[in-house]
Amino acid sequence: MSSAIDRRLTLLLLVLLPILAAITDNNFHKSILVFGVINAISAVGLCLMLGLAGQISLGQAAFFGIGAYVTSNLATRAGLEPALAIVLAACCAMALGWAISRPLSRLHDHYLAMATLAFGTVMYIGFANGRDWTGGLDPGMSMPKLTMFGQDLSSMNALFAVSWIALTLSVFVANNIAGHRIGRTLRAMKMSAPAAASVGIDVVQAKAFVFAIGALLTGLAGGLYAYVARSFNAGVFGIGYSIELLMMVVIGSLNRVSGAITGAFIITVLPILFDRFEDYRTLVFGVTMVLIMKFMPTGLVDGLFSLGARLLSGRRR
Amino acid sequence: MLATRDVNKSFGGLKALSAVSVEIAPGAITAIIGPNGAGKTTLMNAISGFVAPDSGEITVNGASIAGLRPHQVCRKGVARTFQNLQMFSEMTVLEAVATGRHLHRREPIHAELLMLPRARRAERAALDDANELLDLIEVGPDYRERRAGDLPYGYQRRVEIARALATAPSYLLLDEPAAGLNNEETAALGRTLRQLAGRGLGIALIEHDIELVMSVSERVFVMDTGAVISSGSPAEVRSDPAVVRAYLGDEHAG
Amino acid sequence: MLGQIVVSGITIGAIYALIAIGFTIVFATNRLVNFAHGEFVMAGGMLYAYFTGVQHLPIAPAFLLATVSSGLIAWLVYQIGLSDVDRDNHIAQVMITLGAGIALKGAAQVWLGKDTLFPPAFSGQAPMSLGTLTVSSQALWIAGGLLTFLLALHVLLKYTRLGASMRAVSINHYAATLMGISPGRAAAMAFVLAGVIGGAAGGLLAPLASTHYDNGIFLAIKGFAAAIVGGIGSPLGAVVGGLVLGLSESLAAGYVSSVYKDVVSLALLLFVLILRPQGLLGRALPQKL
Repeated sequence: MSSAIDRRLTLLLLVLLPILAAITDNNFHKSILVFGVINAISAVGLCLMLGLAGQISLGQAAFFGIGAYVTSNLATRAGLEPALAIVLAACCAMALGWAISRPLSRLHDHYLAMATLAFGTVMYIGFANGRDWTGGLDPGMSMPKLTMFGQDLSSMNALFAVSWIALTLSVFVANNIAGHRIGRTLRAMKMSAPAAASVGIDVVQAKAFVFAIGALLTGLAGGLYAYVARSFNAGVFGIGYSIELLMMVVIGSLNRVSGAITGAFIITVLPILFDRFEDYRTLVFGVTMVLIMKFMPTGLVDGLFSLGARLLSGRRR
Repeated sequence: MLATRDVNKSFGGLKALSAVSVEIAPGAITAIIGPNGAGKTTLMNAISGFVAPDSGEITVNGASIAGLRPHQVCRKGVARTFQNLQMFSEMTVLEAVATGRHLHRREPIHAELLMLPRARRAERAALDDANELLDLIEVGPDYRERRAGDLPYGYQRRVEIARALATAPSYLLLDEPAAGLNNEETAALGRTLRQLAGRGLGIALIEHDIELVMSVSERVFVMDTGAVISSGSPAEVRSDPAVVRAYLGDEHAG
Repeated sequence: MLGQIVVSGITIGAIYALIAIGFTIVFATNRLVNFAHGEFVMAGGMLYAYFTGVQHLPIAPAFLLATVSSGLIAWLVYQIGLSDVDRDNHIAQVMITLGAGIALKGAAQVWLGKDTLFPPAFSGQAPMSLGTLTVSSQALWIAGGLLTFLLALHVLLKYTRLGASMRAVSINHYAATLMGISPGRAAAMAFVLAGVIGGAAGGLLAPLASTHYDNGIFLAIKGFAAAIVGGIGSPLGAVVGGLVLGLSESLAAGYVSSVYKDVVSLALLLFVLILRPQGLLGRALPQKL
């Protein structure tokens, strides 16, 4: 998964983003970029789970929500330092991800997808109805400004910087996982679980690990989201987000971190560009997903990649 | 010694293993032969933890491994290959073999997540070990960066053996490793097996290629319809009427 | 009160059963979980509302048309999305059916609107009395619909050539191809049946619970839960599962809290998947790693 080209592309994307943020002077547009970065963090998490380990999760919104709600409760009720609140919230999400994966470890593909969908829906119902802790659908949750050690970081630029740093760290860790032993373990499990077990890989533990990492990253994204959005309600954390995340990875790339980031931005930014056609958004997304899965099953970016590689090698001859 | 004693296994109404007792000695090649459906693969599955025996003992150097899950059996020093090739097809050959080094990696998780020097060194070592094994198993360097699933069949079989060897086992279970190999490849396999046995590895060989079995094994167990019907040296077993009957039917016996 | 709860439990249970049958047929024949199935149900309801509301058709032809249209939609989903996808590529199947479902939802949003619709009940709004219980006439139609479809399915599977080929494909796909049975046809027909039955479920439910372009995935989860609880692969299991689910939900709503009634189905689903994936009526599946 993590090839030299992928790493270089990822680096390119990471460098491009602050440049884009700098040249955007419209605050609304800048906030879209920030949301793109946040979604990219979640997408990287799902990319590890799905692309690397073959684990279909349609319940990632649950971890996003845990990240957001634990952060907000720790910040408002316990008055915790925001950075700490976010980190703790991400750890909570990670623990939940680890815990949920073990009973689901015997499930594959379709059944796992349904089970995670059910799990995500249960969590959403909890979010929507646990108004004491979450504010439910109405009035929702309100957040104070983001500060770090006393410094006000609530400007869009500051929020972008914080999110970008989080994305960079996430990408660093994801690449370390993907390109080395752990990545091989997960891919081995995906390609042949019996063979993986026969060389000493504990498949249950490996699944728990990748669920935990996916949940950690998504929870981190959720914590950041809480501070960027400042006010939100449970509607954000429903099935829709889980499916959007899946689309990000499918459109971008199942296998490459750079693709997941690209996909995240495509899904986040495009609807805003086609604001007038908002009603057609769902239809377009659905059709696109089917087409990509049929003709470029490892993702659009990945598919364009291979196409480009083939054209280039063709030309060299 | 890897031994099974009176192992029984039924699947619904079908009795796949009846009081099967075999011994795989270290430093030697023990063959398990028999007609199709005799239960040889089921026995291998039982030993390697893919199937739980209904009753009986399975021990490695005295310690029981019956009922352990496959990854736990591997950690006890028993490795295996698969009859129908379970390759990590999307990986490169080198990566596929390197996965076998997984269980010997003891770096803490944070070292790996941050790729600290310790983890980098261990990665290098794993890849070096993989290269060494591929040398031993005679898969040349030009194959090693290729996608494992693209290799010719005979080479894939060898890669699977190398992967099993990477776990540094005391015992190696091979399920029809010569299936689909030509004479040259089979002879090379025989040489490699003798070499490995010479280093102290205990090898269990399920095979239909009688010539290979006769030329490399010290001991042979013959199975038919779930039971062991004969055991001994290759020559003894070959002339055992029970064995001839099992393979060829009544008219040809004694 | 208990009687009323049981009645509503059986009513919704019958709907879940109809949805579950669609899942089960497709799973048995194609070995895949169709994530667009909920949208077939939604289509049935929305189209019924459309044909009666916009096109002003009488109830019977509107319902029939809606049901047939759902079957056609299902056929299209199979042909366009799945017919040339490798049977063993499960991830692709999940994504494609998911995408198809989203596309259908989007299509409904664009062409049928975002409003919640309340199409007419088949024989009027007047509830009927059965002893001390009040039963809506629609509930009787639902029960009748379930029985009709079960009977029709039984006849199809047992006495027709198509049914036999579907059963053959579900038992052993490879052997069936060797016998000259076209698995593609069986697979496509399974989808059509799922579309028709699912669409009928949607049409039957719409007068009772209203219909909306967005209710597909929720109904799908419930229907899938019913199929799994009863034992996927068996239409009888779908019925058992549906009734179990419907009654559990109704009891939970009546005696505990209506807010968390959905959690009951979801919890049952997770429970069964984790502890007994073959469901109540299924045989134990071989243990994978």
